[in-house]
Amino acid sequence: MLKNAKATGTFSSDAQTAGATFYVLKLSVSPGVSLVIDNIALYRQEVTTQDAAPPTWSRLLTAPFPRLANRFENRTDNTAALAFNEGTPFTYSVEQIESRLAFSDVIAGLSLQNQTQNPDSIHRIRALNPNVVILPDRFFEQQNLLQPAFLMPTLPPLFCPTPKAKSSVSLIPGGASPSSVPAADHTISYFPQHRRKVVNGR
Amino acid sequence: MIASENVDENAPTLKSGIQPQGSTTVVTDPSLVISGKGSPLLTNQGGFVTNPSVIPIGANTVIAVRFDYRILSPATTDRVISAWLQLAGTTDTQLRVTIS
Repeated sequence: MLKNAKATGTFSSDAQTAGATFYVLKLSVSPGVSLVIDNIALYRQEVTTQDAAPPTWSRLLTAPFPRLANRFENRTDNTAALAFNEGTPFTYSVEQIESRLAFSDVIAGLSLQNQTQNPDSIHRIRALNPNVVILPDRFFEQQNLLQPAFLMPTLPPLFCPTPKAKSSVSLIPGGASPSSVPAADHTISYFPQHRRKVVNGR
Repeated sequence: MIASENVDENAPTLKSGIQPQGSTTVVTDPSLVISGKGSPLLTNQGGFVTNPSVIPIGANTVIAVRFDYRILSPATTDRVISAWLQLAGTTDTQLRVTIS
């Protein structure tokens, strides 16, 4: 619960445990906070296999125009607390952000983190709009279990950039310096099956 | 639902599945109670922890917590509360999953 939550209300949140056998749920208030709580409930989400498109997708076909879409990156709680590139942190509460999001017919771009670290956010949005279609963000590097080369802090020599023609930028620590290989582009040999063409640092 | 606590059955104590931590108390003052006979009051970094022998929480499981609240003294930091799923028997922050 963030500091700009309403003074009274109902709090809900959840997360998925990792692979250990036993976990406990712990909760504590921040220094200086006095908080009365009641009607505590713990739920376990049952996992079901879904092999067909959600019914909300077909309901979208009959939704009246204008059909509204909202691209919203990351998570509602992180956006409320951090504001990222758009404003001042804590200007809006999680409740305000989710209420606005739920007004849309389609929400795209939410982080996959929501599924394991903040799924109740999806529940809250869907409670406000049961017909909303939610499409998470998944860029192609996430298809791999391997971390993409440009995020690796250091690479062993085997995986350093292989100058293809000439290079003006060294993207990888330990790679060729601009002065030694001046020119246009290079290809990062990350693994033989995963090659990423890099041109002018993009 | 795997557990619930409204403090009415065992006031001024909590059920064995939810154990108070730190300076958490149960208040019975009607002006503070949210509903029923009593309500837990969390102050000074107090909170609660589940008892794994009563409320077992296993691997790869989504656990949700929900409760009614009233803030008596607001937060001076970014969060009013912090919640997390901790590997039982440990306090290592690397062995926890944060609940937002």
